[in-house]
Amino acid sequence: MKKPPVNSENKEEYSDLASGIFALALSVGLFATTLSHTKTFSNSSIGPVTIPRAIAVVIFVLGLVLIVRWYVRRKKAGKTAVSAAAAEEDSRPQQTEQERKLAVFGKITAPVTFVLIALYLLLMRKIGFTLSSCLYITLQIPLLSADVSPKGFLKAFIIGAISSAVIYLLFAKVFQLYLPAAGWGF
Amino acid sequence: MLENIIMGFSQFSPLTYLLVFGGVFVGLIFGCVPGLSGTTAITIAIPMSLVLDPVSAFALFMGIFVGGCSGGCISAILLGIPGTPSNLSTTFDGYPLAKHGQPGKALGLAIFCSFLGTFVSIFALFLLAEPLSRVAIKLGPIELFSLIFFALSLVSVLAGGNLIKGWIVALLGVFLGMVGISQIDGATRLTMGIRKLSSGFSTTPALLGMFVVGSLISASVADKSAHGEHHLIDCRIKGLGFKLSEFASQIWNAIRSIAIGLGIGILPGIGGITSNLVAYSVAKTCSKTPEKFGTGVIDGVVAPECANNAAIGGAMIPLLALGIPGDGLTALLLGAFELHGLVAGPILFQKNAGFVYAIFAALALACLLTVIMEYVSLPLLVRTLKVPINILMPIIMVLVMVGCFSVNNRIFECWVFLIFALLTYLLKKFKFSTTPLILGFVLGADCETYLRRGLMLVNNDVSQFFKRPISCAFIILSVVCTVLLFHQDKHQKERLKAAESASEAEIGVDISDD
Repeated sequence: MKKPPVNSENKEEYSDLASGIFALALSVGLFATTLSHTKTFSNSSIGPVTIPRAIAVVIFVLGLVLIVRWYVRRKKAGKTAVSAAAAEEDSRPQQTEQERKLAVFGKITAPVTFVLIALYLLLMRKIGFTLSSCLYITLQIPLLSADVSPKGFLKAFIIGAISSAVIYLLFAKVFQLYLPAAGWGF
Repeated sequence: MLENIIMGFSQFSPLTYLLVFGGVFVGLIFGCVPGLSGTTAITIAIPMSLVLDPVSAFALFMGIFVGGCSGGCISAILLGIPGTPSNLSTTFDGYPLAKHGQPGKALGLAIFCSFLGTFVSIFALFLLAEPLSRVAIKLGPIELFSLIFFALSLVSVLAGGNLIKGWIVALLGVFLGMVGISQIDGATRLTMGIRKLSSGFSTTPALLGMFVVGSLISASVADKSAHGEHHLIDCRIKGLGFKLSEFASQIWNAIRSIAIGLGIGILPGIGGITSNLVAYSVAKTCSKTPEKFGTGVIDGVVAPECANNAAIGGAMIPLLALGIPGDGLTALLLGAFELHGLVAGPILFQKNAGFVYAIFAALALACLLTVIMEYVSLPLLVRTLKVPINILMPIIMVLVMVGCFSVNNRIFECWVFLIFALLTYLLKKFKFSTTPLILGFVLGADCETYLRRGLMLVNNDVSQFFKRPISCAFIILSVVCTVLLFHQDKHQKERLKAAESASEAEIGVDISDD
């Protein structure tokens, strides 16, 4: 017995709602940034924040349109399309250990990557470009490789140490570019 | 025209020739490895270029640009994974052709068609860029605003994926481009009290943030396993790899695809990525045997490779003539222009004609070097496909940080990179396309300046935007294109929905038969 295919509109259904809410939140944030600006002596009726405010308002309206569109489509589609998607999800075969591990890494890679980059930038001023780069590579490679064993970290550390040293020598010494350095000069 | 090319080459030093050669080689490697691209290579080259004169720097960038666009066909054909998004359609027939025991033919055709597409597009660039710049210099702020409005409308619909979402992202980009000091009245705005933002977000770190983090995250093993295993096919090319009679049968396909690539490349904000898909679809539609597409027909290799490389020259035309980037990579080049104290646009032809012709000369040289190097160094390029990308990408991230830092010698620019990377990631998570964001950001400040200046010129009489013929034409074109493409997209979705309902009904019959 064949299973009914998932209607492609299901996937977009909640996407429009989420996008609309995101757009509304974004527009409020953008409008808030227009509240502080330096005064000008210009006589122009269109000031420095007129266009930015207009843009924030238009984004708000477009966000509302997305939400309204979601609501109208949901009413038309009813609940049958949603239950078809749920049925398909329930029927997926069980995952192996490796697949489960990769699924976990798949979910955490993006957020952890951003945290790693933020830490990298915070440390760059404190411990210098070379050491912070070495640390960043040491932590990033195991995350991308989904290999957090001691051997994986050691391999990443060796790659990180060599590559950050080479990059520093190439850019700071050969190309004579200024790179952030700590008290020990690199 | 010949004297202009000679003028261009006269700007070259021996180092410049070496840089074009090196740029092509690096571009081929970066284009070849899935997850990297010419864009990534240029981001690494940007900090290095600060020690070079502008001619040598842009010679390097042109080498990377051409090499990067051409190299992606190698992994598309031998691995079934496009080296760059511009080579996606090449995988549809290139990989099956290689699996059927003809990798040499597939690669030979792809390399030759890449050369042909690039060559014709550079010729078009020679012919069109300067006349267009002479027209552009006569445009006033009202016409320039309307032109930017047209560019944003087009990219919002074509590359935005969805009209409303495309416009949201384009407007967000324009907003971010306006951060800092207003060009009209010198007021500092939208900085949230952060003094370092008074000069706005630096173009290069912002664009790097939009481009690079996606590649970093998709380099993860977890992401790759979600996309399935691909096996590398071994390949040696004898001669050109294909018979001339085989190519002769593809002449019309090649000409049509080059025209598509050139036309799409000229349109602001969209380039090789769209052109290869459109050219493939058109080739399939025009073919006498469309059912064979996807099984390994040479038409399916010729069309996308001609088109995506033809978009190179096409994308450079609006960049040099109007200061409007033709695609994502040329948006990055816009940032490189700023770093070297140059302003892309019609004034460039007037004040730095020698520099512009040097760019043309570099492109021509890069085109020739690329085809030779692809044939000669194919075994080396194939070996680079075995490099684990999940190890390479973090090193590339460090190089990107060097690039961001060296813009203004401050870590703040690296934070700008991170902010834009996070924003791009969130937009993709919420199913927004980011191409309109790139164009909106790059053109945002100018868009507002032209609008305000235009209104000041005509005492806030908005009707002047419709009374002036060029401005009116751009606005009407924007509306017409938006409406047409919106309806086309709506009909496509309705057809898809109808097809799904039909298959559901069929399954319903099957179930009832059980």
